[in-house]
Amino acid sequence: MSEAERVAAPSTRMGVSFRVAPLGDIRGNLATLLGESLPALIGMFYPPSVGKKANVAVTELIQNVVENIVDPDSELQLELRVDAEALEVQVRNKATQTQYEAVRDRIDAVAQTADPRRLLGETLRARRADRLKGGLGLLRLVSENRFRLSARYEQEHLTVYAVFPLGGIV
Amino acid sequence: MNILTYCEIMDGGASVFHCVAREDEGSLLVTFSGVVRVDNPARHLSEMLTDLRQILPGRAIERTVIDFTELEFCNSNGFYSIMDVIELVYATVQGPVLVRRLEEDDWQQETLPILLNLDEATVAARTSFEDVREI
Repeated sequence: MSEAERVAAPSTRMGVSFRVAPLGDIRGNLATLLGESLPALIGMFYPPSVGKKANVAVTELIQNVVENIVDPDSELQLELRVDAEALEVQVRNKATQTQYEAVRDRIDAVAQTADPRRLLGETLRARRADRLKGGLGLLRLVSENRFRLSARYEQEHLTVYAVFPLGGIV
Repeated sequence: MNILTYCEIMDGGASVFHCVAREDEGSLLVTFSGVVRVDNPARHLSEMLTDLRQILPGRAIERTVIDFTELEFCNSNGFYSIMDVIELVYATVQGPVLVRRLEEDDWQQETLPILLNLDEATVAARTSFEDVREI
């Protein structure tokens, strides 16, 4: 299918659901496996740029979970949806109130800044000496990929939402 | 071209990333290819950085090309490592730097200029871009 044909068929709706438990069983790079599968899958129906964005979002959000497991017996859930309106990625996992607040603060900070690229640059340079990683992935999703982020905390579970509007692109 | 030094990252038993520094008649070519996804890429790049620190100051480099067009993906864990290589190149060689990057890649268009530190006037003055269309 040519690029023009894919663009001409924006009504396709697709979704991917994935869950795994216990998280302590994860061996290898789960974020990579999930992220790398998406460009080809989404590329069947949408322009390559949509698959690339899905790859970045899933990789960064899953990596955040894997690097911050609070309960090795708990579950990770991934929901991805694409239609003519938006690409939406949700990642849900068990987290502490403190972890949620840290994520929420980062999302609020990037939402409130007029220049996310400048914030990413300042954050990178401020944290580089100590190689601190926290928050770079979320910042990148907004600064680089123009996702809208939000987070919800209920029943000891954190859900991070990343939404990219596709109106006008497909 | 002469290979000065290189770095390879293996992940899950497969070769997933290469960074190679080559020199030819006053030109330095640094290429990044593959994917940066491992947890701590700096651990893999440290030997190459040591090599570059020793090799580059003694070379008569007049111009540099840094090529990202074969780099398919870089997660945020890789940002500092990319910065380490770029910063070392700018600090140890003189002359203009041409950055080859993909025209339709959010990372290479949006975040790479931040990693290059183009806000720094001396860096910006030496840097130009060649945007390459992905086939």
